[in-house]
Amino acid sequence: MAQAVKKVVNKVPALVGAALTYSKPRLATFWHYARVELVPPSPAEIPKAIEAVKGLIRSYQTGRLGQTTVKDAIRNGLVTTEVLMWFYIGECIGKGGIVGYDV
Amino acid sequence: MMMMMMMMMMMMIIIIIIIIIIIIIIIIIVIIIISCSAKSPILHCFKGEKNYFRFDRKSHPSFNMVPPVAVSPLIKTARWSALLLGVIYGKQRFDYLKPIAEEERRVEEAEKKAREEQERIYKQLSEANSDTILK
Repeated sequence: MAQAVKKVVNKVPALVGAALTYSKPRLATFWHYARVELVPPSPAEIPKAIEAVKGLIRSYQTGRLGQTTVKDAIRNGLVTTEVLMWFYIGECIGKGGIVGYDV
Repeated sequence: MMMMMMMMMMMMIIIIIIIIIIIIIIIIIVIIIISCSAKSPILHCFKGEKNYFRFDRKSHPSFNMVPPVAVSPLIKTARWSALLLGVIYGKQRFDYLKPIAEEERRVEEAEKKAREEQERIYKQLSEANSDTILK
């Protein structure tokens, strides 16, 4: 029993080192993309977002929205779905658990 | 009484998990410190030649891969406001559901007690009334 524990404890640094070498480049890639794509909007960008919403409403009123191609519509639908999924991630954070409410 | 014991057990389990996590973090920090020292034979793969496991920035895929896309501000605001709304909604719903669940648990406990009491009385009565010669 003591031998087995000693063997495991001797392997832990190597395992952790291997985990570090594996994860460092991948974390760097993730950070490389996340730094540009996943940042929250700076206060200067919020008026631009409101402008874009107004543009959307206007395009719906003028009927230009009916002229989007199917490819564009699918792409926009996927992006909308992704934005809506962030709501559920927020809900998981707010309720303190992944599945169900821990009451 | 049982609930107190269960809560104490949960607290102990949480404390043990926290201690294990702290130990793992300390081990990782120690390994990083060891790897920074030049005379360590075990982890020489972190230092040394360029073409070993050395993390070489220019050959990293992120320099040869697609540049990150410039997300439109509308999508960014929508995403993060959806996240915020989700957190608020989750917290509010949790606070709404918690007292209801506690009430239900209390009612269930009381009913269970009443039921067990009934069963006990029934058993006692049936034992007293069972009058057989096969005692």
